[in-house]
Amino acid sequence: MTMSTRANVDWDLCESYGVCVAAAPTIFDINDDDDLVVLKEHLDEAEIPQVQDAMMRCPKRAITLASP
Amino acid sequence: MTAMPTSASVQTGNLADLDFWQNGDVDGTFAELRRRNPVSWHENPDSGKGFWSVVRHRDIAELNDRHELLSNREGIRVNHDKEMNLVRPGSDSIIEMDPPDHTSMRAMVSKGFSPRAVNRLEDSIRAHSRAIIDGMAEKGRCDFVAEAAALLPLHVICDIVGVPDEDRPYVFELTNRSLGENDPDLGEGPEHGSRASEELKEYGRTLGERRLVEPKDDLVTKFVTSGLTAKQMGGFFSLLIAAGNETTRNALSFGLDGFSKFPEQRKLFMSDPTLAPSAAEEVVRWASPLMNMRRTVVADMEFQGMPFAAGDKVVLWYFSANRDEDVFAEPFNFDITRDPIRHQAFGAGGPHFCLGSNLAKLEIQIFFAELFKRLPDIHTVADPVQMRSNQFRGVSRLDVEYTPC
Repeated sequence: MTMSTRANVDWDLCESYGVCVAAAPTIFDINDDDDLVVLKEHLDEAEIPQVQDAMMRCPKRAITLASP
Repeated sequence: MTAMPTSASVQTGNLADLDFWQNGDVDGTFAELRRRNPVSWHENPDSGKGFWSVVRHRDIAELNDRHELLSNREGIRVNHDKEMNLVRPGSDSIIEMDPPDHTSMRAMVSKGFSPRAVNRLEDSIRAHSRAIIDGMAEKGRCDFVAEAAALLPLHVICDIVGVPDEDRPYVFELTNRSLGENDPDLGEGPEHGSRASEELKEYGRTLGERRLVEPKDDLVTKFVTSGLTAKQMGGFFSLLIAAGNETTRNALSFGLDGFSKFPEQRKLFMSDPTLAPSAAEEVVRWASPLMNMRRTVVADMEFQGMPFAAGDKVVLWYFSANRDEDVFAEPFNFDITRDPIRHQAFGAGGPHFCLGSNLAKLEIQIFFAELFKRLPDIHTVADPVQMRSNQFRGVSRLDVEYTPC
């Protein structure tokens, strides 16, 4: 089940604070236009705790984890 | 609804009573409420109708996560009731909207306050800081609020928004009258405060008209060219100016209070520049310039066993959450090494999380680095004189001394 857990970003909420980039650098980045980008949607098991940390820290509560 | 007698209202201070805020045991009252009455009812004519107070960190976080339960649309000030028909500061602006309207309006400005956008202001914030410190350096003593803390955020936000130098004293005075409406030294009551907000909006609309003819690289130009109505333009303008110059002023003032009371923290700050980001977070926690956000119950509900009725005001006490013993060890110590610092001074997350948080933190870091470099022994000689309010933790005067240079 965790094989294809995905990190979702609500683009209406995200304001590129970038807190998630620090928490999960392999998953999130901010591009040159100041937009957040999801580098990798399908997460390895080891990356899930990082994304959970990012979820908790995101000031806009814009990140969710989706399991199939 | 009628007053809800609780054991808390007997044993502790009344958060609705403005005299309590000047003479009462504020820290003791909140500690007692967090322990025994995490949700309690407070009522006093100073604050209009009574309101629910939520004082624990985790309860406030929960209500922010379930933000659809509470609305910003009926005002965000503790003392403003719908029936008062006051033109509220920030009305027509995002702070008094709910999603989804809020979402699209806020998106118009949010890019301007992203970490990267704010970092581009570093040089100008440093230059303003140095000029301000130059202005006070030879005096040896001064009122830190008037000579320093009030000036930096005013100039920084006016640079961003596009207010010309000569108009800055005017918008500064209007902000003081609006946010200090309950303090006889600053304002003359809610009606006068609301009139000051109206004047601020009117000024913003006029500036917008000027920028239509003569565009510049500033937010006002961006607003008028992106199709905002004149009314929306005024609302945005007054919100950004007031929020941008008042809160950071108080963060800087309480920050110096913290560094003065805990001198070892100043030594740490000066010796280790990598602590600057966490120091800024701790300054904001310690200061909690916006002590609460007031919202309004959308539909009858129960929270922590208390009956919240549709239309009731609910006050989320970020100031109390920032001293919650369950979250912060030794909450009354100023400690820049806290890691992590999950304070709620910018809000507890969600749609209304402080838009200017990155800007505020950068101003605080740069200003204190420059201040202590130039005036390493600057310290307070009295406690901050606080503005009369149960919402804004404002400092109207802070006496400081230092070796002139």
